[in-house]
Amino acid sequence: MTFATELETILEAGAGLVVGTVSAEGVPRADRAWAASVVDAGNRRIRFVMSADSDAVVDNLQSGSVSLTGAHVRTYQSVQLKGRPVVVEAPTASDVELARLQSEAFFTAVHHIDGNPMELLRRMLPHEMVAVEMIVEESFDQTPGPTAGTALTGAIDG
Amino acid sequence: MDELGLPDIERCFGGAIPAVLATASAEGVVNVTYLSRAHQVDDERVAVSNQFMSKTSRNLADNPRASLLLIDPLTHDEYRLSLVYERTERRGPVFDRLRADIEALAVLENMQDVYRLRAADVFRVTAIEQNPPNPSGSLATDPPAAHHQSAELTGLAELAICIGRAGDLDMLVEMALTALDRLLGYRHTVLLLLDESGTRLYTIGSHGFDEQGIGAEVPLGTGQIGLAAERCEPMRIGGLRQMKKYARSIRTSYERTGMGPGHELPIVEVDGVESRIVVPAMARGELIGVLVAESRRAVAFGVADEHVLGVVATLLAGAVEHLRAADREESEGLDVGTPVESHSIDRTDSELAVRFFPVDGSVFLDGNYLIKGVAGRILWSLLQQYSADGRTDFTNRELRLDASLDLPGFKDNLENRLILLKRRLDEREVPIRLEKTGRGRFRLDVVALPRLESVG
Repeated sequence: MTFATELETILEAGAGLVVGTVSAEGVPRADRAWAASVVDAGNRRIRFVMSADSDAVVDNLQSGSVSLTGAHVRTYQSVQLKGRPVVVEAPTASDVELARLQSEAFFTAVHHIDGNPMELLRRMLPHEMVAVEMIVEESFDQTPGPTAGTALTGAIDG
Repeated sequence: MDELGLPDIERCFGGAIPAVLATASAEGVVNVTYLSRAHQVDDERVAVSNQFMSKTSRNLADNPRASLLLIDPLTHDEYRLSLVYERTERRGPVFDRLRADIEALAVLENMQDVYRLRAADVFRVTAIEQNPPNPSGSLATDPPAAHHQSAELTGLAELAICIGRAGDLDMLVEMALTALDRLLGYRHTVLLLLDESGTRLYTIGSHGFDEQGIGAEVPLGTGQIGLAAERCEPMRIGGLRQMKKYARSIRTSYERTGMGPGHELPIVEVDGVESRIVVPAMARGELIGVLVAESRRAVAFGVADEHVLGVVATLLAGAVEHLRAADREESEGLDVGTPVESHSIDRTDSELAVRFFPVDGSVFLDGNYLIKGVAGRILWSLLQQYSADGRTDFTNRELRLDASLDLPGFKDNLENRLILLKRRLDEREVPIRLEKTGRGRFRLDVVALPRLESVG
C-alpha cells in the first residue's frame, strides 16, 4: 500500500479530524473537521469540511496557514498535513452529505471502541460548517510517541 | 477570563478523552498535537506534559499563544481554552503531579523505564469558550455528580464507628469494605497490606468482585497500585480504556523506533474497569497498605474521593497498627509451655493431598495453588503438627518462636498473615479452616486426612 493510499484511508474512513488555524496576530486555534477527501493527489490538494460556529474560523483561514490532523480512532495513528488554504466556501450538498457520512463513521467507531453514547457524541457536531481546500506543503507522522512530528515523504504522490 | 472558569470544567481534566493543543510558529505555521490529559494548576492556569512535543516547545519559545480543546467526558460538551505560555517546570509540585500522571499511563503498557516526563509546561488561561452543543445530540440523563455531597460526611462518620468497633483484623477488613459500599457507594474495593519485607503488597480483603483474590500480590513500584504505594501518594485514573489505547499507541511507536519498553511484567487486571483510585494507608509516617476503589464509570473519582478514601485509609492503617500491637502484647503474655486444649477431630475418609515447596513457601491442595510465603509456611507447620499428634489448638506466641516460618524478628505481622491464611482458606472452600479461639489463640479445623509432601 502506498502512503497516499494510507493517507486516504485515514482521512476518509471516519478518522478524528482536527484543524489548526492561526490569526493574523499569530493566535493559533483548534477546531474539528467532519469530512475530508483527497481532491487531486498529484497536486496535493485536500478538501475538508470543518466547524465554523465562530467567525474567527473564516478570518483565520484568510491568514494563509492551515493544518489538518487525522487520527485513527482505535490506534491513534495520526497524520498532520500542513499547507495553505486555496478555497474557503460554503459547503456544497455533497460536502454536507460527506460530513454526515464521515461524522457518523467517526462516532460509530468511537462508540464501538470507547463506548461513548452516540447521542452524546452528536452534541459535538457544529451548527455551521465551512468547506476548505488546501494545498499540502508538508506532512508529518503525528502519532503520540517518540516519532511524533517526524516528516513524512511522498505523502500524497506516494 | 469570561464567565466560565476552570473549576466549571473540572471533569475535562480527568483524562477520559484526549485533549488537543494548537500552537503556531513565529512565521505563522500552526501545529496540532494530541495530549493524553491536561491538568488544572489553579483557577487561572493549566499544565500539560512535555513529552515528545519538540515542535510545540519551539513554537512556544517564539509565540506563547496556544489553543486547547477539551471535552467533558460525561456531557461531551466541548471547550476551547485560549492560553498564554508562562513557564516550563522540571521539578516541584506541578511537575510531580504530571509525572505521576505520565507514570500511571506508562505502567499500563509497562513503559515506565522509557516513557518519562521531561517537563511540565504551564499556561495562563485567558478565555474559555464553549462550543454550542448540537441539538441533534442529546443528554439522555443528568450526568452523575462527581463530587461527594456534604451528606457523605455522615457515611464517613458511621464508617469510622465501624472501624473503631472491629475487634480483630478479619472483622476490620470485612466491616470496612462492606461499609464503604453501603455507606459511601464504593462498590468495588480492595485492601492490600505491605508485607514484612516492605517490598510487596498482598491482598487481605476485597469487596464487590466475583473472586476475592485473597493473597494476590503486587510488587512496590509496579502498576498503578504499586506506584501509588511506593510514592505514598494517591493516584487516580479515569477513562482507563482510553488511556490504555493511548499508552498502547505510544508503546507501538517506541517499538517502531527499536527502543524496547523493558521486560514484560503482568499488569493489574482492569477488565471492564474504567476508573481506579489508589490511596495509601499510612500510620506513624509509614506505609501500612493501600486502599483501592474501582468503577466501570469513565470518570468516577475526583479530588473529593481522594479525600474521603484518604480518611478511610488512614483510619484503617491506624486500626491495623493498633491490632498488631495488641496482638504482640497479648501473645507475649502467653506462656509457650501453656498446655492448649486438645480438640476432638471429626476425621473423614477423604484424603487431601498437601504439597509444600520450601523454596517459596507455596502450598498446593489436591494440585490447586492455595497460598505462599509466610502464610504458606504457617499452614505447613500447623498441618505437620496436626498429622504428627492430632494437635489442633495453637498460640500466636509459639508460632513466633517457630524458626521454620522464617519470620522477621521485628514487625512480623503474624496476625495479618494468619488472617490472610484464614480468609484464603474460606475463599477457596477447602476442608481446612482456621478459627480464632481467643486473643493470641486459634484452632485448626481439618475435615480430611492430609497427605503431606514437601518438594525440594
